[in-house]
Amino acid sequence: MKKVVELQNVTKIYSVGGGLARAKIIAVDNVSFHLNLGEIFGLAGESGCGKTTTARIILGFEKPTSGTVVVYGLSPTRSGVQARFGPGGIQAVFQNPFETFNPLRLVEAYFFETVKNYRLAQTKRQAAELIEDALQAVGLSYAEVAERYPSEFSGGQLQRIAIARALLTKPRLLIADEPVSMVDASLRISIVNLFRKLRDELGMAILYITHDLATAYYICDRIALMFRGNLVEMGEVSRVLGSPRHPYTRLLTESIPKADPTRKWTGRIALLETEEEEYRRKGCKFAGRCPTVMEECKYSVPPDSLVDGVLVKCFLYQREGEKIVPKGGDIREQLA
Amino acid sequence: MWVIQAKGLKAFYILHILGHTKIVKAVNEVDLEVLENEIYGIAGESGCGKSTLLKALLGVTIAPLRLISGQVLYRKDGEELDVYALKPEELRKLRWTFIAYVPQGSMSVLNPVRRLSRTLEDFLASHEGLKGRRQLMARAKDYFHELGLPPKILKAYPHQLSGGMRQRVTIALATLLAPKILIADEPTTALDVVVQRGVLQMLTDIHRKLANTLVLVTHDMGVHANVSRRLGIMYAGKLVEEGEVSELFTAPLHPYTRFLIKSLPKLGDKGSREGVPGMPPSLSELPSGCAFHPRCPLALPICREKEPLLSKEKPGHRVRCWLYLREGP
Repeated sequence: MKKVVELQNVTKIYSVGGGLARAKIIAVDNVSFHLNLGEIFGLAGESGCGKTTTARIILGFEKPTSGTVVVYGLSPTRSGVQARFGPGGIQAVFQNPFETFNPLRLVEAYFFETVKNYRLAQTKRQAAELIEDALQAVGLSYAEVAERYPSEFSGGQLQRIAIARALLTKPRLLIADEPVSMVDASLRISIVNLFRKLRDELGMAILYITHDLATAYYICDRIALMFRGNLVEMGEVSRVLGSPRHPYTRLLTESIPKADPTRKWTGRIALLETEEEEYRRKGCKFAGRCPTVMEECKYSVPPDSLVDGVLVKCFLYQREGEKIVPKGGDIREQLA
Repeated sequence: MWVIQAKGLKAFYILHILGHTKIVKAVNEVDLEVLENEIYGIAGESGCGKSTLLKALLGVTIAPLRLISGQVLYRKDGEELDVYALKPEELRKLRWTFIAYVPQGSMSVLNPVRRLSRTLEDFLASHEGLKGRRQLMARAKDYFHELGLPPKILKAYPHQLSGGMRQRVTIALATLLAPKILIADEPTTALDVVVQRGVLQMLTDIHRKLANTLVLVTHDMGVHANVSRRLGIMYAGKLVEEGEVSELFTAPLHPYTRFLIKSLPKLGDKGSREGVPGMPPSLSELPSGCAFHPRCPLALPICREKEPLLSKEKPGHRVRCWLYLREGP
């Protein structure tokens, strides 16, 4: 499989406050993963876990404090940002479709501008054809968009228009940062179905950033879960979400409200006080809320272990000879 | 026994733009009863009139929103109060002591340049006067503690707290005076799953503790399945289906409700799903007949011409659809 982008030990440190109160927050802590062409890779976790920072690092909006990001197959004649976003490079769609567009500007202007900036067409007619193709790919047509303002569309339609604009440059990687969280539940599925279609028909790679694990399960091939800057679990989506190994993944999957009144939440959950406290923890960042916390979790950072092909960052799994076994029996029994 | 009753409630936004009058029919002939000590859920797409319905139920119709017709009644201490016949001063007295409201985006209602304790003091002073304030402040601290909110957050400024914590603080503020009815508009929409669960855990704790009535509005059907007892589905300003949550999820009647439930992706199921076809209608230019007919795969010829009534299909289960109206037009 062809890699599109690879992150190698990427770390991003922000400092907060000034003077004596100055503190460091490790927003992304030694994160490594890659994306292949033709796959949807999910990056999930709660707000403030570093998923958007990771996306911004891939997009080149932020410089990592250490580590490297390799983007494969860029045009060698261009450099820097031009190469990254150039034809066949990376494109992005963001969370709030109502903020993506200037309310006083015609929607079609964004399309013509992209064509012009990238010199994708020689004539206006060629440009119109390209735009029509891009809009057709998301289930719209130029006639529906022409001479209309953003306020004339619903959130779901605007999000599709944003995706169509991104498609103009024929990107190999699309970064979608929480693309459905502002879209109505009834229209959400049509956007995620669109991502499926782009992967299957155009062979694009998609980085799907979300906190909605149900849609992530529905479309992703592989998924990584982040918690306070750390990658805590990564692997094939049905394995990771089907039988979660890390206690945090377990908490997340259990907290999805199921649309089934016979399977309501049972038990109560502990809540965090502030994000900062968790970021400052020395050992495992989840130790404060973990139902299976052990003494060592509080002082040292758990190692990454590979269990059944899934990467897990937790002390519950330890190496015994060549095999990795859960400590003290099956974690699922312990958590139940 | 009902605590809120709406009869033929119609509340429209009347806008005058460049000499034209535009009427947005946000709440259109809504009849509903919210019972004592229940959790009543309201679901529907954005722009279907959910929030406007809440405003109408609260008696807050400020221009351009206008009450066109209908009645809203509260039952307080066995007495029926007609909300729109009350004087503003009487209505003000009911708020926060009898009926409290957590508006949408309420995470941002806290004054950013004041510590939470100041906001709390202001709130108490305006409802209980300056005299009882001290005593109530002590009670408020205990109440925060009971709800699992650490007392130190009272010294914090809103920006120092996470979104979920701010949401919990506003809910605590709204319920400080032990209201009999709490109305929460999309209280968890911008939150992620774990924090959402925490906020809902707190809402149900309060509901149990105060033995009050909770009206919960959200478009998240998963939340309704977990929390609500009865559920009303709104479409284009109208109630199209209402029933017990357990029944609505297992045997939904209205085609729109069926779409809402069928389109939800589930963990452990990668099977392909379809959303509701088409787009929600504009509330100022409603389609003829049943407003859902352009998107409905089961539409009959009559759906285009005449509007169905909300009929009682089974005890406790009402639906507004021609498929179920046996008596015919």
